[in-house]
Order: sequence, then C-alpha cells, then structure tokens
Amino acid sequence: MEINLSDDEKLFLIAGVEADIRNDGRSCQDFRTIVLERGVLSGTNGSCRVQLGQTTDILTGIKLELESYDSATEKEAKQPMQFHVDFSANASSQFAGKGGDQYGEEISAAFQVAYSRSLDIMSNLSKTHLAEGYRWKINVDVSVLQWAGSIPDAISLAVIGALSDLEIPEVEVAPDDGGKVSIVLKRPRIGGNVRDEEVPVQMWRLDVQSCPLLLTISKIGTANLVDCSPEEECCIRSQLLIGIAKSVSTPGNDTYQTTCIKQLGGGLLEMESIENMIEMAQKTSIGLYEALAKRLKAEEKRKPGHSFLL
Amino acid sequence: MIITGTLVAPGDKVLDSIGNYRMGNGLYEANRRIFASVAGYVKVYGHKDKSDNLVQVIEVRRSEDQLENELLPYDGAVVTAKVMAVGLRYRHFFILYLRDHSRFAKCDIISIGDRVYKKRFSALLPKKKLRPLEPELSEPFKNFVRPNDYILAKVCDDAGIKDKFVLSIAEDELGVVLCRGKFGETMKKVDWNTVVSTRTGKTEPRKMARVPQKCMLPSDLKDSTS
Amino acid sequence: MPTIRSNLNIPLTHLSRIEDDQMEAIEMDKRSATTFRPLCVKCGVFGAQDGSGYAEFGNTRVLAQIIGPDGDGKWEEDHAKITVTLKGLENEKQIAEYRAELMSSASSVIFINKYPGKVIEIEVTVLSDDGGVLSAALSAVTLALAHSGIEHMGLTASVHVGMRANEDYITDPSTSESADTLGGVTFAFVPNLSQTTCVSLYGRIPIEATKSLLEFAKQRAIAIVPVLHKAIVNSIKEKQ
Repeated sequence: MEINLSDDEKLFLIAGVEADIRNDGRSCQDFRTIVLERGVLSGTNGSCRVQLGQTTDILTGIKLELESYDSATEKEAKQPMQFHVDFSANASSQFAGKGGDQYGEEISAAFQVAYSRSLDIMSNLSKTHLAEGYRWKINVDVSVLQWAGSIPDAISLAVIGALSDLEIPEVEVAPDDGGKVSIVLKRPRIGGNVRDEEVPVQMWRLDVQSCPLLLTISKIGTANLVDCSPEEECCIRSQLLIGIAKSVSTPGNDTYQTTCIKQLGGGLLEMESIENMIEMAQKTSIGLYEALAKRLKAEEKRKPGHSFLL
Repeated sequence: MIITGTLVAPGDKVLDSIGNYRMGNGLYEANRRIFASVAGYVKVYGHKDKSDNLVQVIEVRRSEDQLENELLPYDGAVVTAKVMAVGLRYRHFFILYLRDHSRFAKCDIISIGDRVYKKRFSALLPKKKLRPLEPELSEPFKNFVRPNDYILAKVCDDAGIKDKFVLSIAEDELGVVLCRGKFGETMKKVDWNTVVSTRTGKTEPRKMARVPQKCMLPSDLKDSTS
Repeated sequence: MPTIRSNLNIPLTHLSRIEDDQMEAIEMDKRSATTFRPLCVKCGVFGAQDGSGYAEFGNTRVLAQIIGPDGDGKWEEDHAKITVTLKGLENEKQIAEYRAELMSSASSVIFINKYPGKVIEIEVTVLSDDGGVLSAALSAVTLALAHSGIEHMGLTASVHVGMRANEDYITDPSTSESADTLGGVTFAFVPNLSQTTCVSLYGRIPIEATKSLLEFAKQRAIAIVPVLHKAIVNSIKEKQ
C-alpha cells in the first residue's frame, strides 16, 4: 500500500490536525480501535495479536529457552528478553524483498533499549534467573502482518499482551556434582495412582503491569499526534519514540519513568516541543495502561487448536 | 557586518538580513537570517545581471578556484564525457520518431577541465541539444555522436530532468574530440562533419569539436585516455 | 569549557602513545560533573580526500568519512539518498540503533533537495569504544560534513550525559563511570537554529527529571560548540 497525497490534501490534513480534528474524526490524542487477543499461536509459550484500527496487524510470539551463561564474565544481571521484529512482505509493498529488514532492526533495537532496565522495573522478572549461570531466555518474535501506521505502538501492546500470556514453568534447582546444578521441572504432588509425568507442571506468569510502553508522538504542523494513520504519516515533520514505564512501588500513587526516547526519521525539533511531546506521551500512557489492564483481565482465553485468523 | 575573507563554519550567521545583496552559493536563509551552509570564506563581488544592473553577490566559497568550489558538475561547466549508449528512452519521454527512435544519448562525465572525478556521473545528451538553433532535428543520432566517442560538452539546465546532468554540444567548440572505428583504430578528422578510419579508409559522419588552441587538444586527451 | 588535549595534529599517530589505564586514573579524580573527558576533534583527517572527520572523547575514538555526492545509476528521486554504514562495533542491535540515529540526524541537516539523484555515503568507523560512541560519532560526522563541502544547515553539537540515582549528572561518562547511572541521554542540536537533531535516551529516568536532564545536556552541548567551530575553521586555514 503506497500512499500518495497531493499538496492540497496534505494542507487540508495539516490544517485539520492543528484544529484538533483528524480525517477519521479522532482528536489528536485518540487511538484507533485496538483489538487484542491472546493465546493465538499454539507453538509458542505465549502469544498475542494486536489490531489497530482494523488495518495494522501485529502477531507476537514468545519462546522460552533455558540458557547457560558464563557468570564470571557477566558481572551485572542482563535482562532476559531478546526482541526480533520481522516485516512481512505482505504488510506493505515497501517491505518487499529486503525492504523491511533495516526498519525491523531499528525497531527491535529500540525495544531492546526500552526494556534494558526491565529487571529493575518489572517486579518478578528477576525470577527468570534460576541459578548461578542459568536463566530463562525470553525470545520475543514480532511479525508485522499488515502495515497502516503506528507500528511501534502496536508492537509494544502486542509484546505486553504476549508477556502476560507467557507461562514459565516452575523449576527446582538442586546442587549437583562438580559445583553444577540440576534443574528439574516442578510438579505438585498429588499422590494416589497418578504417575509423576501426567501431572501438569506448575507455571507462573510475569507481572506486566509496569511493562514499558513505546509510543510514537508525531509532529504535524504545530500539533502533536498519537497513533498516526498512513495518510498522516506522509505529513510528519518529526517524530519521537517515547518509552514509558509505570512503576507501582507505592499502590495508588503511580510514578512514571522514561525508558527510551528516540528522535526518528529526520526532521528538527525545538526543545519546547520535545517537552510537550513527552508530556503527551505520559498522559496517553495513563489511559493506555488502564485500558490494557482492563482488557487483560476481561479477555477470555481462546480455544486451543484454532487459527487466529478465524 | 561581516567582511570579505572571514572564515566561517557551516551554521555561522553571515548577515542579519539579506538587504541589498544577492544570495550566492554556500548560504541559506532561516528565520530571515543568512547562515553559511559550507565551511569556507565569505566573498562579496559585483555581478551584472540580465538587465545590466550591477548587484553585489555574497557567497561562501571553499576555495578561490571554482572547480575546487563545486562538488558536482555545475551549470555551464565544460566537461569531458564518454558516450555510453545512444537511443535509450528516458523515463516518461515517449518515442516520437518512427525512423530513428533515439532521443537521448547516455553519457558518463569523466572530468571537468583537468579535474578527474573518482566516480563517473551519468548524464544525458538530448537530441535537441546536438546542433545550435535546430531543436527539431530529423537527422539520426549517429550523424553526430556514436557510442564510445569522447566528447566535449557543456552542462546545462533542463527543467524536465532533475536527477541527471543534461549535456549540450550545440556550439561549434563542442562535440567529438576522439573517436575510434570498428576495429579500435583511430579515426582522423577530415572536416568538421566527417571522420575517416586510418585502417579501412571508410568515412563516417561526426560532429567534431573546434577546440580552441588554449584549451586541451584532442591529441592531449588521447594520451590521457588511451 | 572542555579541555583540549592535542593541538590538532593527526591523531591516528598518537593512538599508540596513550596509556589507556593511566589516562583513566588521571581523569577519574579530576573531573567534575560538567567537565568533559579530554577531547580531540579534527576536521579533515586524510589530507588529499574531502570529507573526513575524527572525534575522540577520552578513550572513545570515532572516524567518519563521507563519500559523495555521487550518482549510483539507480537512485532517481529528486533528492539525495543518504546511507550510513557503521563499523567497529560488535553488537548488531547497537549498530542498528546507532545507524538509525546517525541517519536521522544527518538527513535532517543536509539540504537533500540540492543533490537530486545523488547518493551520499557516510561511513563511520568506531576505533575504540569507551562510552558515548553515539555522541562521538555524531561529532565526527558533523566535522566530516563540514570538510566535504556538502551544503547543510550547520554543525551539530552532541553530548552524552548520564544521570545517577541521586539526580546528579555526569557529562560524557566512560563505560566504567556509567555503570552506576540510572540512565542517560545522547543529545545533539544545531546551535544556530536551536533545533535538536537527535535525542536518544535510555535507562529509567523518572519522568519529572527528564526535562531537566535534557536541559543540562543542551547546556553541555553548547559548551562543545567552540571546539568544533575552531577545528573547522582551522581546516580551512590549512587548506589555504
């Protein structure tokens, strides 16, 4: 899908945005309809699909991997998440061939930055560290199935959805010969006539309520916008990618932290605009966190074995 | 007021407003102020415009020599180019002639004067720029230049073509300076419109350049390119 | 005002002479929150070739080379295409991140409409990495741009600033110095237009502190402008 706008169409759009009326009737700080489904891929440990305005479509799958690392060389605990963003050639003609590779790398690098301190932010993420030299590695693979603007925003929602869907097995760590450890899956004891292998493994989930959100705030004319449509993306002067994490150390009194800011796509910005854009990102994130928490609580699980396309 | 010869870095303010000056190269305007866009020194010089008024032009130059000053072949520069192919259609220009389809010759610019570029710039020689005062030419392209000829040409401005340089040989001093025959042998000039092969004696039409004596001679060029 | 170590001789030759450990020891006890590591910038490293720049912040050394504008035979748009290649870093994610930032910053200052159908290649080589690679690379690129003669809006001054947990700032931290920081920001802006070209914040900064961190970074970036300016003017003098 290639968008070609004439100069007059652009002027109309810009003038509208400056008056806080967008072409589809939203105001500047409104998101399009968000559809979030979890448990859509059976081959993953956690998955989520996010649709933004019926057109942007993101599929995220998480795979767990038991990783051994050299504890002598790694002094500081590394956060266990690895991101990989892949643009499907079906998403848009601009991603055909190798077109999307560079953009995908840039976005996954931005997520890596935004989640770089997540060990300090997310309350129970440190549980993935099992023993000296062993940890769970969380591979987050994102496929962009359809492109219609605001890819980073949609991806960040899909990542949080998938992380909340992720089930991590409980393990027992026991010391073994030669200073090593043995890691065994933990199964509850039921007793009776049931064999150990038939008892399901105990699972635990990540606490995602303070997962960083990544928002793109775009400057069109003099206005700041969230969640741009493809037409609006043609008129963008400059763009900030802002990562915001909610910390819930004190209940009822949330504080927010910026985990990432990136100026993308060329274009110049005034200091003052940057401040306004950060402010806007914070305001938006409050609403988005609320909506997300509500959805994650209310969402019903899909029946396993059905394709997400149905 | 900044004086001629002041060294400036990109982004330095040169003037508070353009005033009576005319803006030359190496400058740009932002918020009504005039800033330098390249590193160099400020130069103010008088220039007579088309209606013969004397205007003061202000510009930032990287060096005194204009060849050093320009990164790319500039409008009006005399360049040496090699004809790569004749007859290519250029993007949205359509075939108009049935007898000879060629509308453009594709050329590579090798050097400006004696400054040789590291990479060749591709350029176009349109048919209407082959002979002076004859924009609608019906003669085929091969009467003027053929592939692998070396030509002297002038860079000129064309509103329709922005991404390539447009060349012109529509002057007596411009045209073919070196060409070879079928077997790679040198072709000798017979008159300004004909060359003859030194091996087969066959004559071919060409538009030869009447190179002024103070410029580089065709024989000099031959040494440097062969 | 940042300290200037060398009087702008070709820095590549004295790379071997600096004892890295020794320098670390000296700088550690002398620096305050607002001073830079010893820095060295040079506009035009390879005498014969246009478009090179070098920046050294402490033990971080970055070389930038600009090739072009050239035609590549394929690009036919009415503006220039800018490509950035980054060498010398091992982490691929980091390369992708920095490349995006460098590209965004360079394309916002270069007048791309003046070079239709041309390609401008920017090659950045990280010779050694001791923190603040991005800001050193941005400085090297702006010097290379000034040396290349490509028209652009002005030099970009860039700086890397870290923030500690007690909201203390530290300018241009080395890798060991940034170990105990909450996060930091690489900030670049064009001083004559007072517009930013690059903001790259990482870590976890309380949102209330973000504004003052950016303001501090801007002040530090202003301090580095005279050094870059002098290097550029010196390179023109040398040419003549």
